[in-house]
Amino acid sequence: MSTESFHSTFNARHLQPEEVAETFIHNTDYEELIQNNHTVLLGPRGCGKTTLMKMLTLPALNSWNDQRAKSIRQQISFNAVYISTDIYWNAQKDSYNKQLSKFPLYSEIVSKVAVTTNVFFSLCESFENVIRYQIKPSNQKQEVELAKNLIKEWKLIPTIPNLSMVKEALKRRTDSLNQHIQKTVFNSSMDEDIKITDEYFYLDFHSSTEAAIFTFERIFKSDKNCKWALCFDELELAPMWLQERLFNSLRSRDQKILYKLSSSPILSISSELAATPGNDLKLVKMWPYGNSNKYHDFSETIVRSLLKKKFLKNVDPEIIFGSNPILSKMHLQSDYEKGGQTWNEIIQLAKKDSGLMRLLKKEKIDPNNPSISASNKVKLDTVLRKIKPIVYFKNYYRNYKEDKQGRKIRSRKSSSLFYGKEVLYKICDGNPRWLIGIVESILKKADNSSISKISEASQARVFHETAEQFNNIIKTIPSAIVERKNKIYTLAGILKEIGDYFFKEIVMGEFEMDPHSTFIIDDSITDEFIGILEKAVYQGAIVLINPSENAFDFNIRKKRFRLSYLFSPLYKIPLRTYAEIPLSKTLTEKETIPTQTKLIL
Amino acid sequence: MKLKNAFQLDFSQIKNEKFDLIFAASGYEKRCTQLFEKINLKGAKKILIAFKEKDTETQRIENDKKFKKLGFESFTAKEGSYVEIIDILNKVLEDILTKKQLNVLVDYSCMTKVWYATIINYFLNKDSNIQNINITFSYTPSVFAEPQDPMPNKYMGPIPGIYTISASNKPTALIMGLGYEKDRGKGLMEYLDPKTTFAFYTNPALDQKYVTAVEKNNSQLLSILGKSNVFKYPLGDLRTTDSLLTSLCLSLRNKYKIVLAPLGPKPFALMSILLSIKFPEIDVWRVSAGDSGNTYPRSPYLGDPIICKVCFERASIPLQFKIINPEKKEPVFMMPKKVLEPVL
Amino acid sequence: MSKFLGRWIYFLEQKNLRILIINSVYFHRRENLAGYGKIGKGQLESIEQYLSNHNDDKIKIVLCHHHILPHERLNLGAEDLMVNGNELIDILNRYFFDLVIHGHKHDPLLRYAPGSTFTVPVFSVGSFSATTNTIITGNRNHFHLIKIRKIKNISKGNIQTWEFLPSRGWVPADAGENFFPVLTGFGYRGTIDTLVDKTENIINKSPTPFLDWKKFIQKLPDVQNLTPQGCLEFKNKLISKNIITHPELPKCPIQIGRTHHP
Repeated sequence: MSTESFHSTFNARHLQPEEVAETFIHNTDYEELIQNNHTVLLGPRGCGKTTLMKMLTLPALNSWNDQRAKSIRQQISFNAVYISTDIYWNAQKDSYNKQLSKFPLYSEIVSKVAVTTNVFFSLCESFENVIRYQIKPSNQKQEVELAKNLIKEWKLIPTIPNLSMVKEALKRRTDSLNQHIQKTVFNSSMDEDIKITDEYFYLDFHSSTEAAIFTFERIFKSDKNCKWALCFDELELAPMWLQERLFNSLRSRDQKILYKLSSSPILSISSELAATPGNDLKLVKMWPYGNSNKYHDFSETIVRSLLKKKFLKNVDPEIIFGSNPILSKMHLQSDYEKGGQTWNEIIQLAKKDSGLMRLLKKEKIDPNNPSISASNKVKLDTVLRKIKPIVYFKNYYRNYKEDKQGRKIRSRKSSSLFYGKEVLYKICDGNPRWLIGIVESILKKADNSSISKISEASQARVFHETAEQFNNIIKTIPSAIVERKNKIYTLAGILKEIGDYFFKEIVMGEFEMDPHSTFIIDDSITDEFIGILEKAVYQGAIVLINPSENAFDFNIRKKRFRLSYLFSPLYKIPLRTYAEIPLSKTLTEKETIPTQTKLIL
Repeated sequence: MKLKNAFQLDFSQIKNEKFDLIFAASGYEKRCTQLFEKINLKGAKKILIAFKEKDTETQRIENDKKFKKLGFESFTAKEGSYVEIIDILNKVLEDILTKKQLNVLVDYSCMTKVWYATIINYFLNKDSNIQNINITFSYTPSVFAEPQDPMPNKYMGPIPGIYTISASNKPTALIMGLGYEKDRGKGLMEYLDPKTTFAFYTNPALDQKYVTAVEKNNSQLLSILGKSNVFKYPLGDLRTTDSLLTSLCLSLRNKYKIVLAPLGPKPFALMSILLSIKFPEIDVWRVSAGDSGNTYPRSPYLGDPIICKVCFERASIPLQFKIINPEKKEPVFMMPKKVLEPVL
Repeated sequence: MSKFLGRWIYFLEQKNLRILIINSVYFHRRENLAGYGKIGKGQLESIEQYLSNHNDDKIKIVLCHHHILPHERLNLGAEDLMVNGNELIDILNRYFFDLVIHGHKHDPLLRYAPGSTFTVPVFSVGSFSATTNTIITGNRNHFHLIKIRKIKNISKGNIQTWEFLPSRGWVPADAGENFFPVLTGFGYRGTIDTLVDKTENIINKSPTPFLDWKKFIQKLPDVQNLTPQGCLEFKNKLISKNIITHPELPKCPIQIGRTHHP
């Protein structure tokens, strides 16, 4: 079975706002974002930040076909200016900064020009949107007057005074900038040699944007109380000076400009620079932590919507995907009663596992009849529910071993513990991109004409292949390696070590009611490894469980993480958060990569 | 300077040609010196750029000795270094930049993309008196060596100097020239996250085992892309390669930001770099394991090298013209000759 | 009635159309003769006589293989020019021919023949299927759709061009600065300055300092009958008056307008 590229099919970055609106599903994070204050969305790649940002724009809002659309349009009291980070903004980034390494001042100026030009371009698009959707009727003379102002203030080459030509002039500016860079690199030897005569090199995006907005409001007589939100997306790709500047700006309450920012869960800037969330600043953390069910509900809504699209009517996900016995909350009581599935699993394992036997006896639960009596009901929550996943996993992988040569025997490529709607809602960690990809892959197996359950084995196969695909993505991240004295440690290798450690403890080791499945980044972890673990956070490969309460996180040290549940089919660990352990304990002393030839991407 | 045109030539057409300047690279590959045992080196300024990495390999030491005997002036640079190449060129070309015409030979068989891209960009952007420059690029193919498991990527991004900052929101189209190391292409696609992807690979190659290895080690990617997004090109036929690649880029460039990523044989990489010079909005990326990359012996294939001659010309003169009006019996309308023969 | 004049000259006659077909390779019997094209003096006389007996206002087109004007650019060489081509041009000019279409050079180029009063447009159509040796900037394969309108002996033509992209098939021509434009024309016989003045008037009268190109063309259709060179001159003169198009001519513009200088 061939699976599509993991990210590209459902990437909002490729879509126009109108296209995003076609499939947009309202959620609580969006409710936070549309408030009249600064907002920062934090989350890993694919969690939906770009979708939410684009849904602030007028084309998206006016294309959105939802019962809430009208009231939300009326509720939003700002005009959004969506600015996508170009991977090339950062002329100082280590991938290609060597070109300008001899010219640090020039490098910073170039970076600023790139950002400013991009902001201006996005602002022009927003002006066009406001004119189109809100200024009725508009007349071209107003646009001419606005364009003349922009040509002057933004130091553009003379051009036809309308917004489309202003945008063209901005594109020509970047062409000139590119040529200027090339000429500089080959004909100068230091910053002092470089002549910059064009005034546009020194424009500031914030003040110039503000001035342009005032001009727009004056000319078009639009609502002066309406603010403008600069929506900077994917800031983890942005130059450091811009990140610092933007996060610092969140401290102040500008009369005209709001900031809506999106970034990775861990910020790279210094903690002193960032504002403290409060009335004027809202933090939205877009991944599951604590006890919130919001992503469970959101995932279910997405799945239902995909099923409706496939079958052209409402279909209960349980019909298609079934229910997972480990995670299902249905028929709880009967599951643990005599003859129930979990009841049988416990008995089966207790016969073979002395650790479980001891535990049950200690908890005064009959290993031959582990049902709960009326007087013993509390044990259901304190013992049975806790041990349930471990029991199933141990039973399933009972025969999983390695022979003397280290080869796995009786291993199963696709695990049939991974199926059912509950797994679907949980395994993606609230990430819509992964969820849509998985559901679409599973649904390929469905017959359009008959609505019936897709086999557990098929579902498990998709989960397993997705896990492998995700792992392959991690392997390709550039510079996600640490080199030490002829040893190479890769991020993928480290995650594998963590996964294997938890598998050995939870599934193969002595029975523990509270095993470890999360880790703390302890002080034994060196800075080099911290660097690559931060990349893992951005990719969503490791999930921060205890983010700072209503505050930014700047450092992963002393923070608690778990592996993404997407890895669970690969490393055969339950979809559950257990106790924590220092990360250094999960990483062995031996070489992560014994020899170069064994490393496979 | 602008790229005027380019041609594929037979080796016999350049064998006895007189060059002003010759660039070579010295590393651990056996084919480093192959070309220079066959051509006319007389009168040329001969510049050798040797890798700082892996300089104690036996073959490398032997190559260095051969180049010294052939009269090459030697410099060293890191495999991904851009600044070091510029420094070398500034040092050795000071006198040469005063000339009006220049005939250059670059054997890029053992160079990294950064090196020969930098050499091209240097001549394009450096202030000089040069009006015309011809650069002949020579590539010596190698005997097939089994692909090894790829080492982790240290670098995945634009080649310095071959990327552009842009102010538009066009989605990305990725066009890859596939190599035979497993899944590198797929990894790049996942990382860059383009809206659409195309792949090229060599078929026919000099050794069919290469084609089999490419298809096997990129099987998942090729299956995802489907036949309409996959193109095959013959290694030694630059015209066909260019024709397919250029036409694809031209059909995409209005709607997409194009990223070319040549991961396989270097002639495709050269075509990519030349195309991005002709159409500056096209970027070229490299994926590299750096100095941790696999070592292949790369014995020279015992046939002729693949030769591409590229002509650059200084950008032309302002227009002057006369007006026609046949009815008023004014002079005939004509453009001056130079404009009739535009710089391409 | 269509007629052969000898074996190598043919007049195809239709109701409003006369096509003069010339075989410029008729004498290629030996290798040393095959390096150029030719039209014989006797053939020229018979053509002139025919035309003097058929002097009407039909649309008149010449089709031949070799080029009648020098076509040396891109190192294409000079030795293969049609012998006696100048004399042929004189005849065509005198009888107000509307277009000459030829091949051979595989390089599309449209221009007027030399002359003091009326001059015939000459169109080298490039090649439908031949490949070139150059790479990166090699010429592409083309085909064209030519429309000619003739009213009271004044003809104006438009040419629409497609090019072949091997990975994509036939597409409208790219119209980059160095390739044949997707839309061009011939037949405008006035001065470029006149067109520029008219353009200025149109823009000055417009409520905004710019116009949609389609509306502009409706007001000044002669712009569509400029050759690529004429178009280039028109563009440059407009620039000197602070008027530009977007995209730039000879690409297909969407708008034309006066630039604002703060």
